[in-house]
Amino acid sequence: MNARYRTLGWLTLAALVATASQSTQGFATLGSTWRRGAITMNMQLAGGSGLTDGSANFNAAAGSALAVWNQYLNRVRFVAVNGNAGRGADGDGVNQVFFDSNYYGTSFSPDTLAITTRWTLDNTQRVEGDVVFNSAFRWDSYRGNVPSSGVRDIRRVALHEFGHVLGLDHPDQRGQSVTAQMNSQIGNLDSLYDDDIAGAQALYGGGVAGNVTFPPRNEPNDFYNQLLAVYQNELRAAPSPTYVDSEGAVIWLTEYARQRVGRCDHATATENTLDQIVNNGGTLVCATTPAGAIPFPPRNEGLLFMNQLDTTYRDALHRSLGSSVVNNEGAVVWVLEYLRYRLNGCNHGDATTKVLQQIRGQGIQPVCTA
Amino acid sequence: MRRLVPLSVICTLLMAGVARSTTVIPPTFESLVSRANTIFVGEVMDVRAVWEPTPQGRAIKTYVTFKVEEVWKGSAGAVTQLEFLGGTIGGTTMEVVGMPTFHDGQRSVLFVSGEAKSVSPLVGFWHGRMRVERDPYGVDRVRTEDGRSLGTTDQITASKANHMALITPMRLADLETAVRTRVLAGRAR
Repeated sequence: MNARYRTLGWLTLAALVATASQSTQGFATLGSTWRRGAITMNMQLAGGSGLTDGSANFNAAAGSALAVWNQYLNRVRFVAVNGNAGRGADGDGVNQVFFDSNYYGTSFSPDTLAITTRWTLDNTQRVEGDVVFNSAFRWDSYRGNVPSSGVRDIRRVALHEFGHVLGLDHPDQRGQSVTAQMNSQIGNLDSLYDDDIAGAQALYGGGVAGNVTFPPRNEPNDFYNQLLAVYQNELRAAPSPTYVDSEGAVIWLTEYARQRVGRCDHATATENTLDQIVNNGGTLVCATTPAGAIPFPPRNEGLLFMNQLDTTYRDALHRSLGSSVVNNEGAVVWVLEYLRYRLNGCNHGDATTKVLQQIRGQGIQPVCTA
Repeated sequence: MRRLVPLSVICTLLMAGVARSTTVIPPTFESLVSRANTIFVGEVMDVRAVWEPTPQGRAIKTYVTFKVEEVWKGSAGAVTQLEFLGGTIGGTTMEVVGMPTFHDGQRSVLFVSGEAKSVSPLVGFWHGRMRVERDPYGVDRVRTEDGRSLGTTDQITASKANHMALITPMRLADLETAVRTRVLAGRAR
């Protein structure tokens, strides 16, 4: 082989290695997802006293796996409901988690720890997912390596199976080489890893818990009551029609603002907030808010949200038409302004005073941070 | 054997269990061979999904019919059918996560379990199915169910894909030799 062909050979090998390396990042999905909102899991696992990690029972241990996934889900979230221990039914549209010595009438093979089934309509819409744990194994709930005794950790197996319920497949069976709970072989890994989380967030939207603390609900509500009084007694405002009651306006404008402060754009913040109203969706925001002055959305976008909130109250919640002396625009402008003060160093009293001063024509007051 | 029968006695398959599990302790090559009642090379002739009642409701099952090319262990008819839990009928899909899917014309080596009424017809679920592919030189070669190149029988249960990505898949003939050797060793005990 001459030098030219040797070079070509090495280049080819390098390309092959590079190709293989590129495939080392990524998760695998099964091709169908749940509708937005709650995924109710009926926990029917019997027993489980004296578990190593202190879980009250097997339902609690497996339920903690649901909670782990929930930290990273936005458009859906698991809801654990404790049911009667024992066997469920397949194909009934109910998600059940239980122990059994067989799988709906056929026995587990001796090497099977658990089985998850997935029911799908039109190849895209998930409608059922049952998880059956093989009762022939000895189960506990613990962290760390699998002991030589072979006692199985129900929590990590549940993490894996619930990943299947969400719609994740085994990355190592799809050409990936990643550290993941979703790999096909359950071993000493006892938590979720970046690849697992990335997969779930690819299916259901990502998010973080949010690092900006918003005031407790009673304080914006108190501010809004004072705002109503000013509009009624000082501005002599006429009632405007609205489907949103005062408390709803405050709660959901605050949530929209929280989503925006959490780096969501207008469309995403609106979608996430309305999803909480209609589907009991998750409360994650889009990203961590950077240090410094807290960014706030422009008023026109807040008003767009408020109008959609009105429509949602009318069409999805079927609320009847009411009225408020604070019209939608006023609600948006002053609630967001109140929150802007609160998130920039003002306490409830100072923020309320500063907003009301603006309304009374005393100009825009400075925030309270130095 | 109940799990593997000619079409002429297909009715007995209704007694059999099906499907592939989600969390499986992987078998070694030795246990794959020893636990299989029948090991054969077959080509898929037909795939058919049906609704079937279960003690707790109903399920979709998929019947896969194979034209048997070679039998390496046990016995099988010229045409054999296996039953897998899950499948698609109309717009409804019931899937047991990880269950292998079959298409007409696919060739596989199948390690069929002898366990009565087991949930899976294959030993070690996906480990009990290996794909057979013919290379450009006309040599039949073997990959794992999930498509990884299989260099040696020791790699059957390996989970890391990448380090095997560039391996030339072992020849079907070599796998046959390994299986038959293992079967003979088992009988000699």
